[in-house]
Amino acid sequence: MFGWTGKALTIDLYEKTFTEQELSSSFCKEWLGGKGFNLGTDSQRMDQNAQEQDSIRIAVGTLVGTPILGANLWCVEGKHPYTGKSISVYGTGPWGITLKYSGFDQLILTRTASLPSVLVIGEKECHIETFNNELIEPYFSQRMKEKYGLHTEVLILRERSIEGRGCIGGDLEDIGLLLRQRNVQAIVIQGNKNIQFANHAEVLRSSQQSITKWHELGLPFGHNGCAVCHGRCRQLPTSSGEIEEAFPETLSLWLALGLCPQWMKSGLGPSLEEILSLLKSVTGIDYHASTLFEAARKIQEASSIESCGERRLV
Amino acid sequence: MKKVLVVDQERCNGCQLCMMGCSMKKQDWVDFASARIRVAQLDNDLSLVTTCNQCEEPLCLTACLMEVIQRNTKGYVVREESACIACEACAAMCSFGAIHIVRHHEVAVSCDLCSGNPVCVGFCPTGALQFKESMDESCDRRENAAKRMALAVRISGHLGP
Repeated sequence: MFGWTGKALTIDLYEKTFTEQELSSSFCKEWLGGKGFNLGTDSQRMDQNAQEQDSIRIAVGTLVGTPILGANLWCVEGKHPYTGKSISVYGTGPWGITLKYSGFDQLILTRTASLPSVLVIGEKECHIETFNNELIEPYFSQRMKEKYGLHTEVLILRERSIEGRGCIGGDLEDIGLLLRQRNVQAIVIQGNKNIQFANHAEVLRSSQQSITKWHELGLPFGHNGCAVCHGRCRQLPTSSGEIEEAFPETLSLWLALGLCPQWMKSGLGPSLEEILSLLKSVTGIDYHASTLFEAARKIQEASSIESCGERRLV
Repeated sequence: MKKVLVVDQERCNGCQLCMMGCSMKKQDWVDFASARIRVAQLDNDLSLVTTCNQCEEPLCLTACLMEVIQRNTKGYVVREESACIACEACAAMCSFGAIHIVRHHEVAVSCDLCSGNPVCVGFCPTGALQFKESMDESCDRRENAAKRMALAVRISGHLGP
């Protein structure tokens, strides 16, 4: 399988057990990645018990892990701890890329840890470290990087926010809220594995092209460390909210592919033709525009059903 | 004159695209571990780029028992990775920490400037990585230092507006 790692990791936070699952190529092709994987996994769990259904799912998009500008999105789906309604949020920055380099497309967190915990997805083994105190000390991130090596990314979850390099999504509060309710204080990921592409040279060329485009436009840069537009995206004129309202499938497509919506809305991201070409060189699958939008529509429908509280897919 | 890879540490925002591009150029996959250039995130706003400085008198070259490190015709320090035994002698001698062992393949790697066309420069969106002649870089630094000094003098009011 190219582009995807083809693996999901299910973590029982209470029992501290880790189970690896294979994601079939047909599943990957059908649900693309990111938000699609989260909803696709949920649809497969319909017959399972309520405990397993009440999981938090974190997944990275298809194009995440490639050096294409803007391809760094990770999506989180779960139930709001207070209202019980499904919420779907996303984050950006290198954490998602590192998750893919750790060898997993998706993390599924079930149950609640008995003590405040730090989840460590390591190169050789995964484990949960528990703390007796509620607060993570300053320089925790640096300490973890010293312990687990250079290619480690740390996501610190606060009650009303998350801390991580380049995290700029507007849903940070919800991600923090979702995971802190499960007693997870931080997720540490060691990204020491690799990903292979169907057409390596073409991915390299397309990536270089996306950066050349950025250079040609002469846009300035910021310093938030996000592998997209480096903070500039927040200053670009965007049609905030309009695209989501007019074409909700488009947003679902971006979230499934792992393309930052802020970046795409600015009009500087790849066009549909470029996305189709990228998908072919990354995954080796020749998607047609209609099939891609069909998949996006399916994800959007699944999302609508989830947010209505029904657990039945069309 | 020989061109060198110049890193403007202040401009680097730690996006790691150079690492991804480097590993893609050098291997048939993408990862962080096999990149010849390294970006360490020291703080949320501070990154440190480490790469081979192409020393005039490279200690790694003298330390290598297998003689896999050599200067090529363009004057760049390069290595024959297939003959490397990963003894880490070169890594121990490098004062800049620019040599590391790729664990999956047990081979020491360092930047060879992609034979005079470093791919990482094209992948840097902020312009923190530049490939230019050392004399140019020296001139730029002196010019920037002069500009900063002039600005400081103007701010302190010695020269007026």
